[in-house]
Amino acid sequence: MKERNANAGIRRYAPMIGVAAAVVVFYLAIEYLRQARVLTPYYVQILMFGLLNCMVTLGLNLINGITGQFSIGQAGFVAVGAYSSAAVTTLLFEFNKLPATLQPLVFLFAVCVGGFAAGVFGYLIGRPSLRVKGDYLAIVTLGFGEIIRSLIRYIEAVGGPRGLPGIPQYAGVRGGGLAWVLFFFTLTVWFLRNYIYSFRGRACVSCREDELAAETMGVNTTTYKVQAFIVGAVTAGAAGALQAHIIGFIHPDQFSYVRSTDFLVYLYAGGVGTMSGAIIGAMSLTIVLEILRFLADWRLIIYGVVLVLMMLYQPNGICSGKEFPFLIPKLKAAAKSSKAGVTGR
Amino acid sequence: MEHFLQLLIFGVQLGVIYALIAMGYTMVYGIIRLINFAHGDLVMIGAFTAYFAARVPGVGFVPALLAAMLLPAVLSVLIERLAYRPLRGRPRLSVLITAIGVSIFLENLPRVIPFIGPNYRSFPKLIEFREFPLYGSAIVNSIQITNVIASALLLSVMVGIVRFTKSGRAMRAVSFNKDAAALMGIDVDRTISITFFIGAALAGAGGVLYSLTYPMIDILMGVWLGTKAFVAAVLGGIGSLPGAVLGGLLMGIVEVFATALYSELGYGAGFIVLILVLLFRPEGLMGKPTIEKV
Repeated sequence: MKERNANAGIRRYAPMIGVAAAVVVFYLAIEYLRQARVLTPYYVQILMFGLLNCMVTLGLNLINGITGQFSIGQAGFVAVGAYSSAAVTTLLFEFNKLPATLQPLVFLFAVCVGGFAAGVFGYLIGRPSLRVKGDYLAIVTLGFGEIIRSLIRYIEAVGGPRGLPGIPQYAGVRGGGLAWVLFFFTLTVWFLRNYIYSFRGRACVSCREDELAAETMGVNTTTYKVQAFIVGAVTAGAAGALQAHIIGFIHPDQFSYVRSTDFLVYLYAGGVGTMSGAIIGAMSLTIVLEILRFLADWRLIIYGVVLVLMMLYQPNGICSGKEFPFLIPKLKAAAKSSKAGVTGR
Repeated sequence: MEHFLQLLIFGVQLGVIYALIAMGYTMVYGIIRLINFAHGDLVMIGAFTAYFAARVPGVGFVPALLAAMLLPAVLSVLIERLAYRPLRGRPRLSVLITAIGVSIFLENLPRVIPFIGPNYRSFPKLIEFREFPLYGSAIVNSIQITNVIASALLLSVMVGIVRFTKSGRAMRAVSFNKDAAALMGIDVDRTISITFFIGAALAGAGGVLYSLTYPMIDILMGVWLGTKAFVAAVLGGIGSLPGAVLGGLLMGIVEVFATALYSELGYGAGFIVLILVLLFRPEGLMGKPTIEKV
């Protein structure tokens, strides 16, 4: 009996350990390639920004793809995360003078503050704006992002319209920041995967499919919509916090609505509604835009044309609604085996 | 009081421009439920058309304005034909992403055209600048008068078209119910093209009037001008023509007053008003409330 339980435990945690091991191996491989000078810091930094974009897009996917709301103000949450975490490391602590053992803790704290602050704003925006629907909600979120930006310009303590320089580059590409980014990226993927396939995620999907029917079945749609907004905001905030500590400089104009539309484009180009779509869209477009840099001024023109052509000929995105198998928890199998166990007895 | 009046004049001057641009947004939204992200860039194209037209000797304000209305209008019909029409009936979000793509394209295309380029340019003085005392120290200048008169004229022509012509009636029918309109023998595609044409013409005119007021143009001017005009359209109730005018004026006035209070506040103030309005009247100031039925 005991043995069986132990086996079940291993079976339960094996995928998790496997994924963690895969991430560590991936990190070591990149680190090795960097040491061997195959990958320059430039490439590693692109990878890091790609992962950050993935995080924000995954959060956006929960709001737009799973819950069926329409947010186009994601950059506002990124801004809140970036600024509040930077405030922790520059204004609250003197990060560079801290003992080296404390630095990871303070940094972790800063990222948490960034995520938390963004989450608070997610609640503040989500709660009242759910009175409005569809396109109007889109405009409210867009307006919210722009209000955040003008408010930051107003706050002198974080540099106002001049931006905030001198943030410790603790997650910078030279300081092994990839490990931090990978850690938070994996955490986001793991959390969102479990969230989407939990009863909460189902409730979110029911809001998307038919709000009225969901309400009739006793789903408190408001709760889940607000929850989706908060979770999406927290992931965006954490990504913002990391971004601030990679570059070491943030400016209100980095978080304009043009940035928000970038995330929207990543999501819909990759395939809305699936996590694979969000990841592949964000990663591939981040990389493609970097590859196209040699085109100079033609780069964004071609980007625009590609976007239009893709919507014309591949409207469901690159992934077209398919999900990587490892992003779907094995719920059915588990349910079946437990059922079989019950009936077998 | 005089200061107040002076700010009000500035506000109205800016507001009528927003109203012109907002009209295009609201018309396109009203007829195909699309937030036309590329609309703001047509404003920029209008401003540049006028800039180059005014270089031709003998071309004054009115011909430049007409040229600036025609080119964006034709372009807009072309965009609708090539990018939006094939997507009709698809999920609205794919059309929206397409609109973002078109907008990215239009913003960056002039950058590589050798005679335009990314630089700021000073807009020619198409109207002779004169000032008239109004009340106390408050003054009104010739550009402000031109702005208000030109916008009023264009808007009334537009409203006339929508109210009294056959195409206008077709427009209202299509926006009311596309399928029923098609069954009644209305050429839906053509009506949508006309809507894009008129909306873009107004956007071009808005671009010229804006450049007269703030004579500095660049290829990204359409981005935030478009955003603010769009907010104005939503504020007034998107889909409603009088709403666009009201929203535009309100937006301009709020922005000028907020900027007078604190210079960094101007941009955000319009959004704050918008969110406050939407919280209490989710359909905008003059929009029709939607009724949810099972």
